[in-house]
Amino acid sequence: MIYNAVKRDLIIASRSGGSAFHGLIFFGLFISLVSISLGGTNDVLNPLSPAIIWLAIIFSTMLSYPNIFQEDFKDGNLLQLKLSGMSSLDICIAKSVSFSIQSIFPLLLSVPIAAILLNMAFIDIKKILITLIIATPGLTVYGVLSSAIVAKIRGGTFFIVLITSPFLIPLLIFGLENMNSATEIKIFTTELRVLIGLSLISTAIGLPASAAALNTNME
Amino acid sequence: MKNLFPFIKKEIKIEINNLSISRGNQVLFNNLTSLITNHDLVIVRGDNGIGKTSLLEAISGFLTPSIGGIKIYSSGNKKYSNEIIAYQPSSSYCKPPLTIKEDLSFWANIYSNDKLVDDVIRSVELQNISNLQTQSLSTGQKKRLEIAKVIISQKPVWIFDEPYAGMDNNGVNLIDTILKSHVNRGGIAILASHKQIEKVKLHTQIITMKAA
Repeated sequence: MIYNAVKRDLIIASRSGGSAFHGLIFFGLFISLVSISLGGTNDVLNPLSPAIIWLAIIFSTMLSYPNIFQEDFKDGNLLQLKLSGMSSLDICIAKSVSFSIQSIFPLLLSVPIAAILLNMAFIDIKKILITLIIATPGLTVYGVLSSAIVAKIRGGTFFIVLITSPFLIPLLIFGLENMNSATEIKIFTTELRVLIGLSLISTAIGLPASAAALNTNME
Repeated sequence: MKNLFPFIKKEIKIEINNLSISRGNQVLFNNLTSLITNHDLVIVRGDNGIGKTSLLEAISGFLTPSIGGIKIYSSGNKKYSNEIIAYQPSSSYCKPPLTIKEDLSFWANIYSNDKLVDDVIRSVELQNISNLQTQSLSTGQKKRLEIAKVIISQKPVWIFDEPYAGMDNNGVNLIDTILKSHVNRGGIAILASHKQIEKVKLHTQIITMKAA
């Protein structure tokens, strides 16, 4: 059931005329605009590049958050799924999986390219990819949660930014802090472990919370 | 061809007790009482805005009534609406980028009736365009797809909001035939419609709603 729901979401995304790439385009634009505004010299950009990439990732995923439930809520698909007996938790799990595949995975793929453009060292690219992959569940589930909360509100996009920001700040702090403390030999730093913890907590609390939010919205 | 309308052995009972529904501060209707059992075709009539859709949604469990309640029993056991009700809203909920077959197969899978897909598509006469994306369908064709989804759920209680809207003569006859087969096998169909509907045997019940 979950597998089929994910498959359907991916088919729809692939046929919706490239709306899945909006996040990716925003990611590229953000990085190039920041680089231009900072002058574009390597001495300035290099120490800042992890922060630039992290911010670009967070902003572009935020851009895709509203799409998670809005459409399905508006056209009545969520209501029908509920009537079919599929549990809200299953719906949220399916949505999380399809969101990470269609929105976050392409961003992760483009991180190495952006990192090379920003002249990051190979070891730094490796570190930022590891932290981002570990933060992916957190980035996904908080998006699903906020989208489930505002599904009923018209123009809820703004509230999604408000709701998710406080949750994403810890991910940002520990993700970036890990860039400074991790070395070639010591990959599992304290910061990385905290990040793993944050991601696991987000899944454990965020998924049931989004299911509850969906249920309230459908009454 | 598989039998799309197997006989329903379970005894279904829907009790509407003293039901009142309000939207905001405005009371839509008061004190509606009705008993619906197997073989019943219920037609809900009433002026625009009187609360026909709200009544259907309340029976489907999407809307909590302000007073009174709806109880659903299957063979004497109390059931939740999502166990035995298939609801078709007045607007279509098909996904534009999917083809008819993909859209229907998804719901067939949810209801674990994957094997019925082809037969159901044939029964609503969409077999020649089953590989067409649903965004290019007409209103009537979309309606047929929604009816196909209701059939494929294989649930004993069907609820339709304006099933005849946008249908040609052929489609109207098709709905009548499908409803007849469903009611004859022991199913329950509840429709909101303005159309004069050919009565199916003696079981047709008409609920006329009046403003509170």
